[in-house]
Amino acid sequence: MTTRSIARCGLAALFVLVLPACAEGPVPVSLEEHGFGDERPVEVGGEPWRERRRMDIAQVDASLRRVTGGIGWDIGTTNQFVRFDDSLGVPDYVSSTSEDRAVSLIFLKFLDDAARNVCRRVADREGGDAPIGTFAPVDVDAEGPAPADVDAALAALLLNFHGRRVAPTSPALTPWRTLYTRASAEVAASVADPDRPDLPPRRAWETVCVALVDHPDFYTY
Amino acid sequence: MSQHGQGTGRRTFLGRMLLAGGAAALGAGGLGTLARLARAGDRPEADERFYVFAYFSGGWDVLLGLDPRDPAVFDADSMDATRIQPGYELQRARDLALVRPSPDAAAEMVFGPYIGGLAAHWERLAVVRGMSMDTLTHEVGRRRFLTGRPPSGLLARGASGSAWLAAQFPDGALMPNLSVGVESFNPDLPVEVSAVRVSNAADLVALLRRADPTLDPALDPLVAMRLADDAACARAYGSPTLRAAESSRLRLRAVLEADVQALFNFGASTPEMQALRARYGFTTDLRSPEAQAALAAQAISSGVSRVVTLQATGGLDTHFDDWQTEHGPRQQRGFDAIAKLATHLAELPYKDTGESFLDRTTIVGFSEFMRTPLLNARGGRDHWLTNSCFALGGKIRGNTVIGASSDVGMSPQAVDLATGRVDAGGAVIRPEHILRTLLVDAGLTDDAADLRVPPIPALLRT
Repeated sequence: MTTRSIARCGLAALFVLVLPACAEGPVPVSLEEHGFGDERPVEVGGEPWRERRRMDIAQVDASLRRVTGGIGWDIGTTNQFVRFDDSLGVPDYVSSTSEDRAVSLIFLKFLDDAARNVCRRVADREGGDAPIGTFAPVDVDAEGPAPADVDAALAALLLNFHGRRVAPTSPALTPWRTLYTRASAEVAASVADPDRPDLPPRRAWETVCVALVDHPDFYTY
Repeated sequence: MSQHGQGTGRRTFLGRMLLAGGAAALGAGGLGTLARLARAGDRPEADERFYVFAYFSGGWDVLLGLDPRDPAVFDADSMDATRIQPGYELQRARDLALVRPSPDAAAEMVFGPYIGGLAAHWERLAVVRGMSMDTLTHEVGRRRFLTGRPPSGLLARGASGSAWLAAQFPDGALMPNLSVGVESFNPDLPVEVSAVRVSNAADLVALLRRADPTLDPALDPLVAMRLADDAACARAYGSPTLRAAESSRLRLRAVLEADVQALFNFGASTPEMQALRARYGFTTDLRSPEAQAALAAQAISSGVSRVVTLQATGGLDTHFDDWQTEHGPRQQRGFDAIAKLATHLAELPYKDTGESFLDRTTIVGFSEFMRTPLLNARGGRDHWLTNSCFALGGKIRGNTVIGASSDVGMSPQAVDLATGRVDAGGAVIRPEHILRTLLVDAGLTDDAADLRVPPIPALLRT
């Protein structure tokens, strides 16, 4: 019998001896006994965190239609996100296969164009014959609405546009309330200013709408 | 035309790089990169440079343009030995001949029959031949030329050369890095030098003008203030994405306030635009090579951009008999457009320096690779590892041919980078050598872009 054969037999015997132990399941190991590891749970902070990502153009388009109750950035029958898709970095699967999702200058410009177009039409729809509440639970043409109604509408808008559930009494609502209040003051001032066209109250809500769409909380997640 | 934004100082730009663009820089290049960029900014005003990268899309046939062969020598009888088939007699236009631009031109300064108007610029033109691309894949070749680094699979690595060059000239150009129809990359550098990428001149105008409907002028600032307030909070400051968003928003405001859309409104019936259309030879096609060349001239000469990347021509991927009918004319159209751009820039004085914009502008023409030196069974040409490129204007040493492809199979050959002559003991030139040369000329003497190759001294005037 050669040395190599003896070694093979030894390994086979060892395998047979070890096999019953595997069948009995894992052997519990105490971390402290072996002196490694830390049994205390790892503190990962209050919320798991990751870097925000920008929506792709199809998602922005769909989101805009969703939050406005069906109004998208269309001029005539042309979806402007499709018209500008090449410049917006949408892949054509000929020269590019992945979408550029940087928050670039051109993305923000066309998003802002979309916001102004869509928000004007939304405000005009809400101020027209459409039932109140498609955009926000408020009469957009009411002059001097009650503060509680404004806060409730802003809270609903933040939930709809940004996915943020904010109580009407929360300090997080303050900057949006300030925006609406100042926009309303400008709208009111336009009536007395002969150099400016008379702005209907709905333009204040239109301003809030544009800011909501232009805000990173709308197009990032 | 006014010079836009020449007054903004270097310190302002570097400050913005540290604040607004810090995320990208810290993520990849780190403070070391910023420090090197800051050093590169310490240059005299006399060293101002501009750049145009002209991409010939699809893989060009250098036998028809930049690297020809004499069909009397490389004929059917020698083809088995040389593995080179110029194929000029198969082209739609039958009276084709090699182009020697001038009796005074260097002996090697000979071009294929579709070089077009580019040959007329031979005194300012350098051609690099016998380069190696190390790939037969379109995306890889294109991205290697754009970044100077071999991609990882298909994914580009590192920032585009255009971004690195834009970062060397922190002078507050409105859109330092403008790209028309060509991809661009910037994982390393501040967002300010990321390319503003549009597909054509019409989209650029749409970017530059305020669209209807507009908010009342009194309401518009309220939106800006609302966004600025949230951008200043700790949550936004801790997020690279949100910081980039705020930086882009501020740049967008500056772009709109500058109101330069009229420079690119090529469809207008103003005398200036009529003259521009006539000079470049286009009417309504704003994606055409001619319109893109005109756009580059406007962006450079008005101070809107420091670096412009454009697609000089397309449709060069001719694997079939469209090579015989389409490839040459398409290639020539690109060369002609670039020639018109060079002529235009040469006529425009640069400030009060006594120099022209062409004296300050380097134009680089490239494609992802060349096509096979032998025709395939379908009468077209496939992809080949070798390549050529050209550089024109600026500090480029004109009337110069650097390197050569071999006379058997048009393979890459090593070159003495100091002399530009073929030398077995030298280096095979790759795209990174070209970009490194431009960066060194721009003042970035250390290899901050991590190209890992030396520059080509023979490409530059001393």
